[in-house]
Amino acid sequence: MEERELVHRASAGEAEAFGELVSRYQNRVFHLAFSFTRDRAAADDLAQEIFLKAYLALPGFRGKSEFSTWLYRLAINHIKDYLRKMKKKMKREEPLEEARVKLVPDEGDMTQEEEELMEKRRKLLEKVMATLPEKYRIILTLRDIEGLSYEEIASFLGISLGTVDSRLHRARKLLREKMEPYLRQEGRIS
Amino acid sequence: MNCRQAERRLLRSFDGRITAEERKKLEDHIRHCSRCARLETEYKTLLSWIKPEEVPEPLPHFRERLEKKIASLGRPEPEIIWQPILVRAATIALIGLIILSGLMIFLQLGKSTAFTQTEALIFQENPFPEVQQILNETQLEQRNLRLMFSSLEVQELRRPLP
Repeated sequence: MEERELVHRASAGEAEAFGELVSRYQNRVFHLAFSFTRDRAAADDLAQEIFLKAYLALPGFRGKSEFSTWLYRLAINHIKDYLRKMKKKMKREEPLEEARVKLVPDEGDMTQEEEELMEKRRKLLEKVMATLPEKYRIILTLRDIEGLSYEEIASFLGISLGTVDSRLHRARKLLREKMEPYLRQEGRIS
Repeated sequence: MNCRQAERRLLRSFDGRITAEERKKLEDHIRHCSRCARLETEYKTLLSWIKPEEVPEPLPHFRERLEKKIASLGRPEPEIIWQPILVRAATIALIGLIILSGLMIFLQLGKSTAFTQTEALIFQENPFPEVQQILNETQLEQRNLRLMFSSLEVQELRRPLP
């Protein structure tokens, strides 16, 4: 069945049609949520909330854009709310300075140590990403993790291509500056 | 090409958004600039770290779990097409009303609060007995004098504010 038809039926309250749309988009929405949370259960919860929101908001969808664009926008807005909540929570928890980790493995069992190293990097990067201003975190995730094109990002965020370019530039620069001490440490082993 | 331009082009190059000519200039710059060469390595490392090793699938029965939640919610209310228009119109009308009321109060405050002569005559205690006394004056000179002085005695009354 055509997507337009499915959307029309789902907005009229047909649960089966909405279920079909869920099947088509659940992976994309889940991946987007996972890119921000890096936690399977949290991403699953977020994706469920996003689809529930979409179901309730669907009667207001006028079809001015593609359904996927509308859904992505809704998902990004929901994730923004989630990030704000998490930021407040993080402020109460461990500060970044205390999260400094050793990124150079010692000699010995490299395989196990490399795995631990990867995990440490991942956690460190998550923490640093969480300290970035929201707009930078979102654009980095959409481009460098999700791999969306400039055009898609511009459409989802409602900004121009020029803004995507300059915002992405600043975001990457800021991330590198924050990660510089760890990157230098990494450079010593390569 | 200076280092600032090189960094911008370097970042664009990761997205394939530079021309072949720009890429060649960038490579030439990096070959001769140790700072930009280091930046290139750092950015490449960072971008390789940022991508998750593997992206898992949603937890099992994603759709079924969602459908259960939807069933407990019931059908969403179909949005009436004129509802948003009505809400906007009501908001505009309310703002207009507030502005108009404010304007009226402002104009009212700027207006003089003094009574006109006619209003003063009406609001004053009945002036006719006094006028009658003057008119009853038998001496013409006395009557004229009293008329002259009474006209000078006009006192200003202030309009009571709401």
